[in-house]
Amino acid sequence: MKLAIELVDVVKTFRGQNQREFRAIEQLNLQIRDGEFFSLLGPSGCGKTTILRMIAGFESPTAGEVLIHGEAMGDRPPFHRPVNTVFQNYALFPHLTVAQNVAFGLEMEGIAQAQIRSRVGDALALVKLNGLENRRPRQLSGGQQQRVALARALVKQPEVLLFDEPLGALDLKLRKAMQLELKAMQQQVGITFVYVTHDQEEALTMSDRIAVLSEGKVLQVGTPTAIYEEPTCRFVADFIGESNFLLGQVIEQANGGLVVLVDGELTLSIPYEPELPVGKVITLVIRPEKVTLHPQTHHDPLALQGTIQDVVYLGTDTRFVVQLTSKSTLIIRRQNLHPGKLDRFTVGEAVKIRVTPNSMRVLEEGSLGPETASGVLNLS
Amino acid sequence: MFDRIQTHWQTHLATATNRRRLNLAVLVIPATIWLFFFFVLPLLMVLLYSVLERGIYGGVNWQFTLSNYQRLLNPIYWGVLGRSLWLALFTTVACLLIGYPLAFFIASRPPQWRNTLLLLVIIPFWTNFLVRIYAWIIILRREGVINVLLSSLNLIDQPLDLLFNSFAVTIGLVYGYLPFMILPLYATIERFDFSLLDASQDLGANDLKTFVRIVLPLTLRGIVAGCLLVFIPAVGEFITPDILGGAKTIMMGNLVQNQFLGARHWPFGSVLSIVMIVIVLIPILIYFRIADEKLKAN
Ligand SMILES: Nc1ncnc2c1ncn2[C@@H]1O[C@H](COP(=O)(O)OP(=O)(O)OP(=O)(O)O)[C@@H](O)[C@H]1O
Ligand SMILES: [Mg+2]
Repeated sequence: MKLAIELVDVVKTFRGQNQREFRAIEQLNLQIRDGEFFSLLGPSGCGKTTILRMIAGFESPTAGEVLIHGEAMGDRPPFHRPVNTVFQNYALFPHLTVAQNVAFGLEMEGIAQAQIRSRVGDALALVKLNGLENRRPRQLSGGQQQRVALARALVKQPEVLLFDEPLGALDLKLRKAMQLELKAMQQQVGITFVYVTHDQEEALTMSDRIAVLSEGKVLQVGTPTAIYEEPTCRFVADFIGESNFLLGQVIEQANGGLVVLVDGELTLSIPYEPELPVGKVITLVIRPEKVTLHPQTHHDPLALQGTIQDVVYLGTDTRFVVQLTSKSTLIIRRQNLHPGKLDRFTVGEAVKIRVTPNSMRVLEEGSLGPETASGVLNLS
Repeated sequence: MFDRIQTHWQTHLATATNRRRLNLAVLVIPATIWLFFFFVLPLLMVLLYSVLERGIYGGVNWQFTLSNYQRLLNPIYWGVLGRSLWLALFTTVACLLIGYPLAFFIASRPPQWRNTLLLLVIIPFWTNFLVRIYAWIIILRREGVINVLLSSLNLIDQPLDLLFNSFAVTIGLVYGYLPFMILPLYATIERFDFSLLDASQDLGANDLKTFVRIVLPLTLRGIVAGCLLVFIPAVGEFITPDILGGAKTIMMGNLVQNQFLGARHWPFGSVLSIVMIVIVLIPILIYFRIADEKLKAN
């Protein structure tokens, strides 16, 4: 597998105003494959922009190495790196026209005028901006400016294109349209996209692979499906989509399955292969859409008991909050499949809940509050 | 430009209510009166005096003549004029070369530092201009700070003649007008979007190309404003050359001053003033021409 970008043990510390050192990136290892759409996803301040700027050459790592196509970049300046960036605020040159903005990068390479003209034309056609060549950036809408920024980077035919939250300033509808367009364009031109976003939905829609970051560390790297279905830690499960977390203690492990006691009152059986000691505290992750609700009259020996706490109609689906144990509630989403037919469940109603065992994910982390811990230990 | 203003006025007045018309008059009339008495009238007087004969004890005789203008043909005045232009030009360029990096430095500091640094630029204004120029005598004279320092380091055997020449005048002018360059430059550079530097480098431009293609065009307004603010008063300077230039380095301003106060030749003084006004008008007209074309281009 050919790698487009490799970050090896990269550390970045900033010196703050009070001269105190601040570690923005800690011991980061990332491998981005050639031709893939790779997203860096994480909350604000987790270091996404810093990583991108180190790849582009605007910041140099405090320790570690950035490799582009196997070549160590060292202190090579931005203008000698085979990557281009689409900036969050677009950073278009206000004194140049659209065509001049796009031509700028080619002029820097010393390419002949005639060739520049044809390549600029192609790039503007690719982003559907023909006819606006002679406008200035401030005479364009946000979406058009964003396309100019894209054309300006694409026209250089870089090996890797870096995006720093390029759609952040656009309204929702335009953003959705641009997401699909960008993805299609990436497949068309076949270059590596490294895409920074804090929008998990955006990352899931567009990416081949996603790296989830928190506080300067990579928590998980994987395909959108893997990130969503098999989160490896609580942060990822919480950040990507909605999750229910149940704290439980292992009371038995047999036949490739765990028996877990939740909140000291509810036992659940879950398929799980790796060895876990009895008494180990674990976290169960349950996605709201993977749970089904049934009326009390429904016959199902494996169903759990619960009481409806809250019902919120959300258009495409309805969101229920169900009391499962004395300490834990479960959020459940049901798609509104039948037009005009409102859900029968009402607040206070006792219901049956069906959780398919293999849709529960076990995380080997978590701790219990002091009084619960002692109470459960007595049981085991 | 005038008919643009006029049509604007006409439509404005046609649609305005009486009350609005009154408000406008209240706003415009004082400015018009002020301009008339302190700008138009003196200018007309200077023009008039330039074609009258000289009075014996100053003032004018009401006899029309063009001889005052003929006197301009004397090469002595061409020399002074040339020196004034050259010194003012040199001062402007020197101020730009020193002021631009300085303004850039200040504008790229963290915001909490900028005001302090700007204050340092402005502080000299709190002292009288004369006092500050005299201070340079103490620095530049034969027994002055520089000569003492250099000879104590055994770098020179004899004190250098640093005072009462063009060199001293230039130093005084650059020193005096530097803030007028820095402030408008700072105002433009401070509004400059520094992320454009990243974008330019990202697209393959090195530092020099980034400066020439991006930074320079986007800060041109400040450069032009600063140059005008330095060049215009520098051409007409008479205090600095008087104090630091001795008798040898006379500028146009000294001539004018001399004609009015020393030689008591008001008409010729007026002619020299008109020459200076024309000189100063040329760069301003060029500036407006460029600005107007830019406006049309957009
Ligand atoms: N030049 C700098 N000097 C000091 N600290 C910095 C500098 N640049 C970034 N930081 C700090 O490093 C951390 C990571 O910043 P970064 O800009 O990479 O975050 P981000 O993930 O891009 O956030 P956002 O989503 O808000 O853009 C932040 O805490 C930030 O304050
Ligand atoms: Mg950022």
